[in-house]
Amino acid sequence: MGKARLLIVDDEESIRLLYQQEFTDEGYDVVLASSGEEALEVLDKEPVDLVILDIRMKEMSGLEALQHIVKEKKNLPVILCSAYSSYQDDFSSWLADAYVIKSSDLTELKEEVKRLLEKYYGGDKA
Amino acid sequence: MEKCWLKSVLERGECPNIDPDTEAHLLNDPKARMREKCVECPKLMVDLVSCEAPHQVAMELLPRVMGEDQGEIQHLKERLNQGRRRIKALSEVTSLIRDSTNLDEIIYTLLTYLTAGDGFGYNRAWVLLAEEDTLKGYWAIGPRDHREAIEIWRCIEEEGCSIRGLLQRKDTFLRDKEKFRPILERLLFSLDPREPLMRFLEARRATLVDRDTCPELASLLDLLSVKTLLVLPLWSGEALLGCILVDNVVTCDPFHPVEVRALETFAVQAALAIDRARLYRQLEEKIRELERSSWEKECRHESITKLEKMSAVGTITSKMAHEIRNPVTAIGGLANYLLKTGKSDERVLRTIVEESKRLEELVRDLISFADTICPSKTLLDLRMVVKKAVQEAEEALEKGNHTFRLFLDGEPIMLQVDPRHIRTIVWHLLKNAIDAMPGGGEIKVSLKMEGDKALLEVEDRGNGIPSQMIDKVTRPFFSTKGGTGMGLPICVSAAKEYGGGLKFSSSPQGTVVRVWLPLRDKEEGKVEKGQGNRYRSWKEGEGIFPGVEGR
Repeated sequence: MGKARLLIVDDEESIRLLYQQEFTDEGYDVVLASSGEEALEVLDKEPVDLVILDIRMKEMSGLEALQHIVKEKKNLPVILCSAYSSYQDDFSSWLADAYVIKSSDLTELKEEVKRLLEKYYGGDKA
Repeated sequence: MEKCWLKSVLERGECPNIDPDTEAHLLNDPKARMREKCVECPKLMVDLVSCEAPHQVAMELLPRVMGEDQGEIQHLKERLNQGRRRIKALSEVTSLIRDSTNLDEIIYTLLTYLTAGDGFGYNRAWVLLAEEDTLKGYWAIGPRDHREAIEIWRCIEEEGCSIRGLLQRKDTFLRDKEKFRPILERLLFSLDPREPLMRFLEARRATLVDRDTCPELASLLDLLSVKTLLVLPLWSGEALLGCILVDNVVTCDPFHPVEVRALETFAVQAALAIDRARLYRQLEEKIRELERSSWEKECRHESITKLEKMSAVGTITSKMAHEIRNPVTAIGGLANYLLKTGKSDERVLRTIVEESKRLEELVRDLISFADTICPSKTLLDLRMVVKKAVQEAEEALEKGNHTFRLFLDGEPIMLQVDPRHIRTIVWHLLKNAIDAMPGGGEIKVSLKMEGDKALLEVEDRGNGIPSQMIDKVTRPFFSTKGGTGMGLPICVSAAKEYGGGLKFSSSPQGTVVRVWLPLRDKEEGKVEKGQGNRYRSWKEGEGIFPGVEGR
């Protein structure tokens, strides 16, 4: 079973640091991007198994990036992770596989990562 | 043969001076005949001259003539005196109603004049006023019956009340109104031209009404329990204001034609006074309506403003909550991570510290924003407030290689101001200026009067704000520097509290932010104007406070 590679997309350095520390300790490969454009560049260059995507970012928003990802990368699970709960009402967020409200407790986010990896890759990625 | 001028009765044709067709009554009235015909008849003179004692006869005749004239003269004198009293009373009443704008005061003054002995002396007087499409009984004065009349007139006679005296007895008028309420309520007529009463009112003259001549008004006569009634219309131009009814229910005295004509003149004055009072009453009501409306409008405006502010607060608060979430997530998450792993990662710890500071800034900005919503203003010299604000900012901000240069107008600038607003504005503008010049430099702060405004300027020598961002910098949470993005929106909100605002002037050589605050009038705070641009530069050898060296 290979290591799953997660792409963390967030313009807040503190959040990127947090997710990197936590998911690296969980045994995942972590790649970081600070914007939607950077995320698409990473996706073009290297394989990624799951994307954790912030919504409210400067320049390209997470929802816009989501649309590009869904269009260009079929079968790539995306978790929208935001401090804003109101985006759940935006139908474009429904393109994502999951919507998680940002919290200092990453339990829910981690469970969603596990669930989606299981769903998309069976037991091949962890 | 008996002299014709001595006979009690003359035959037709017996007196050549009497026309048997038109003056036949003189044939049977020796006194009247003597006065009107005999005294001018040459036959009387001839007879007197031919009699034995003409002077004696003349003396005997004289009282017969003069006696009747005396009676007539006395009667005329009484009527003249009565007329004089009435004119005097009319003059008093006219001056009273001319100066009054109170409808009730005018009405009972008019009714008093109609019923007072010194006035027209009628038994009762009623006023009906037109209201929309009906004529309604409004007020009445007088006795209900004979017994009450005796009592009232006896009291008046004993007290010797003049019209002025009668008018002092306001409680009596109110009692009269109440006393006649059952009848007044039944005095209700349509203003339809087909209404019988309207026919008399349209005539625009005083009309004597009785059952014989006006059977259609029998019900009105019955209601008032009279046989005869005088109807006086009250017109103002083309508008029917109402009418006055007068009766002599107790004495049953007839209405003299001369009096009726006089009443018509009186009715004209009465109508003018009533019209004026009604217009005044309508005007008062309109003013009250406008005041109510204006007050309601002000309340609504205040409510709307409050709602807008609350809505803004709600929106800002919601955004603030979301802005707080990121640093809280990072701090909590990283702290949990350290706790869980037991690691001591400097990078993680530094991030926790930085995010904590960021939270502190957010909270400070939230408080500043709240202060702009609920100001507490006092009359202060704006120069001192700015000076203190700059000092506080100098102490609190990490200035690095930056220097503050403060220019204050030489004259006091007094304004009703919440110093927290000024402190907030100065803080954020200085912070922005520091951030604009990372390598250090001079930041100028000036305060002066410009026309009718107080103008606070903060100038830096940074790289300026790109033109495409000028409109965005005052939007909440817009930040190019990783800050809270609330600084400039708070400054704008604070300035708007005074009816002022912010203006930016930016180029690659630097940015000038101008905050203007309109001056207030004397009622809100005395403002003393500065005399031109007499600045006192802080940089010249002293710090913000005397004795503190400038850097």
